[in-house]
Amino acid sequence: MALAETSIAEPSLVCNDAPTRASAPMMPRRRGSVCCHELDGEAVLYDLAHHAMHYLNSTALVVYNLCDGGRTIANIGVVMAVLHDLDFQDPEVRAQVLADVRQTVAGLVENGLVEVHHEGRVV
Amino acid sequence: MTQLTIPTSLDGLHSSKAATRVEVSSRVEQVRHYRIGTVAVSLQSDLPRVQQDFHATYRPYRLERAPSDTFHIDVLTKRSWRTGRRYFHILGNGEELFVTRRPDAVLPHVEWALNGLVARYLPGYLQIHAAVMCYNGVGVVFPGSPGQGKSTLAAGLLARGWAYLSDEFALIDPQTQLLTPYPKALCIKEGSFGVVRDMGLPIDLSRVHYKGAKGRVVMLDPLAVRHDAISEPCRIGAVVFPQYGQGKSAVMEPISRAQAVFELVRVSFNFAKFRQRGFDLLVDVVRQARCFQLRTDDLTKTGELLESYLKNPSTEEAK
Repeated sequence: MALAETSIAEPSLVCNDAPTRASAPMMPRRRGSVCCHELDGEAVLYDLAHHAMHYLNSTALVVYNLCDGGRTIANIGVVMAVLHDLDFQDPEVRAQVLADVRQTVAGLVENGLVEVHHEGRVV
Repeated sequence: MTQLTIPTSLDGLHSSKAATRVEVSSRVEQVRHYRIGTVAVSLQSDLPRVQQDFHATYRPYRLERAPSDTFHIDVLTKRSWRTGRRYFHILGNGEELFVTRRPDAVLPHVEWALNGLVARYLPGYLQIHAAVMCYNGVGVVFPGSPGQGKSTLAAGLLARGWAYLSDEFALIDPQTQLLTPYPKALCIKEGSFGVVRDMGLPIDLSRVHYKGAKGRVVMLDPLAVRHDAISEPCRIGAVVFPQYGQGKSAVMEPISRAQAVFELVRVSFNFAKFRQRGFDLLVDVVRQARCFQLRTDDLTKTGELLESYLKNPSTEEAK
């Protein structure tokens, strides 16, 4: 957990969608200790480990669900762009989408809902 | 994203207090027992007026014997050895909870002590800090923090013919998912005396009590309003979060169920005891309910608005 928080303070570590500095990209994954109930496209989450409650709006919920340990930030960005009918090839759009996804994932990590994996290890 | 860190337990707060235990075994002759809805209480008091006022309100719930699950409230009168002044000590299950010098402050503190015992120790129910009313068999939960006007709203709806469950506790039975009545007397603050009286409700201004920072209050007996004022257990059909003094007469807007669950946990008394089970329970009951935010400064229009919605559940936004 402490490592994850440290990583969040360094966005390039968490959101390394262009793995030039590392052998493999970072993959965010939902934490197993968090119980999620979806209600009308939004969600409430109960973190059993930290006894904390969270609320996600519809966009944050989609990002949360895409944090399956098998997708990079860039992969998630592609999906989000498709879902919102945005041109991911456009450099400006791409930069904005990735920034939004990074920010959301950073929030999820910061609140202990998601952990980031790199080469099989939690960072 | 919003986060709520939930206190691990109210018991922790409770045990951190320096508990004072007082011997009461020699004063058993004045004890009276009641079961108010699902809550059993045995009251023993040195002050006859407190016993009389409590009994006047809760007479229909009187029991001959103390049930095994009763909460014990004791009122002891003591004089300071130094000043000779009289002090009234209010004990809950043997632990001193309040001390006051004002005789007219004792009954509200007895109610306060009982509420505290219910919040900490009543087993079996997920508790939400809320007024709870029933309209045509459908339960409506009005969650809110202290001072948000829950009791006044409940009184206003009571005057319109709604059935009453509580002005303080939504007790949700995890087995049946039904709301269970705890029909304590409504505690009406001085600022609402006029409004409540104008609605024709029988408040007795000759029996005004003093409730600390809340100021002057009267206790409104729901059975004095109507003999059939108390609701049976009922399902939750709506969750309405009230806000007052917003400069609008009455406006109801839908809020998401996820947001409603989050807010209900925030005002739960004992979520920490239920944890995952409580989370699943709240999601289940809210999934079947409509959730609204109510902005109001007009009780009559609020009642009309709520009733129009409950008669026509397809209404997404009512104004």
